[in-house]
Amino acid sequence: MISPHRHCTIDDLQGLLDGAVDPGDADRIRHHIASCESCRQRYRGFGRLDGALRRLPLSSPGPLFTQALMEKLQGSSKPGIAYKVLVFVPSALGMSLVLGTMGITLLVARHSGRDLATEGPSKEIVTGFLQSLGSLSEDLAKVLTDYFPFIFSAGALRITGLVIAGLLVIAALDRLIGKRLAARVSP
Amino acid sequence: MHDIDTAALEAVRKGDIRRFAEIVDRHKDRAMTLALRLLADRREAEETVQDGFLRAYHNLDQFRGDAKFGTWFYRILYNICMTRVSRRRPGLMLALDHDVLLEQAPMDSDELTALDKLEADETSAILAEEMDRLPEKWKLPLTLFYVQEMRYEEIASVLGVPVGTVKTNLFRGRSALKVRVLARFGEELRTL
Repeated sequence: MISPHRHCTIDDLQGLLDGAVDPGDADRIRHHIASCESCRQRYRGFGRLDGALRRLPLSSPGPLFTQALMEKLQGSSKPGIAYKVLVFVPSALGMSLVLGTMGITLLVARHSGRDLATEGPSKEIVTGFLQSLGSLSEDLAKVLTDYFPFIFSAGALRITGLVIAGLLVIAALDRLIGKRLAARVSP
Repeated sequence: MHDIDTAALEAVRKGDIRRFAEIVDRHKDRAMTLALRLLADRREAEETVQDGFLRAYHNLDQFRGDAKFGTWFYRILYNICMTRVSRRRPGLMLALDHDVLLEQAPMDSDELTALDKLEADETSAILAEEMDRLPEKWKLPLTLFYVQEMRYEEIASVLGVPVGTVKTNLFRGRSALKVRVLARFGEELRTL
């Protein structure tokens, strides 16, 4: 509270210049200054230094600063929506292949009545199933069953399941902490 | 809180990266002035300001808008500057303590009428030189107050100190500056 009968403190005068006093106090300080020559002189003195400091020239970076910064930024910019979608296409294709193979294997196994927990479908059943899909699949059925018989085994099913679970865990971790880690190492 | 950068920030967040240039143009001179005062090396200051803007962009999702963008950005810039200063001159900041100057500070500010006797450009040049020579603990709040045009609370937030410390250091910085400038003006006036 500023009394009209007491001289202003340095905090009062500097606070008024700094815009750091309440509007009510500011009015009282101004009122006192108007009627007190001593405080008015001190206020002018503070004001001169304050004014000179406010008029200090700013330093500018080079003329190409913004352009260079924007080029650097675009080089390391955050991906747009299109990129975010496209980047998942290879993963999605790979995942579809794995899931498709598993699905076919499960269908074949169910069709053959075999227990996938202990044994995979027999080569004959797989070949027969694939061939039943159409004549174009005959060659594919032969290649798959001759050269990649392991993909139809029970072990392969378990491994595929583990790989998918692992991928899901990695994706979840990346989502949770990957961004924070990247922020820490970013320039 | 109203912030002049809000619209541009929203656009940047939605993917319009070009609007970030608008923010850079608005803050680059003040940022450069702060970095230059702290680092006293033009090239390093420019690199640091660029670094500051890049970090601000990459961490934009951490800016929640509780404070002004400027306050948040200058805190980032200040931290980068301080890291560089501490790497370059370990221990120097602690060694600087010019409180003794205040014992000579004339509290009668009428003496500042001497400022009127010199050209404004000359006044600014001398003031800027003396400002650069102040210890960091006074130079920083003065720069943030007069260049970045921050309030006491914002300066306290950037520097991580209480508001009372900001007020004290602003007062001491101004007083020390006054002593130094008046000493310089004494020399200048004698030569006129």
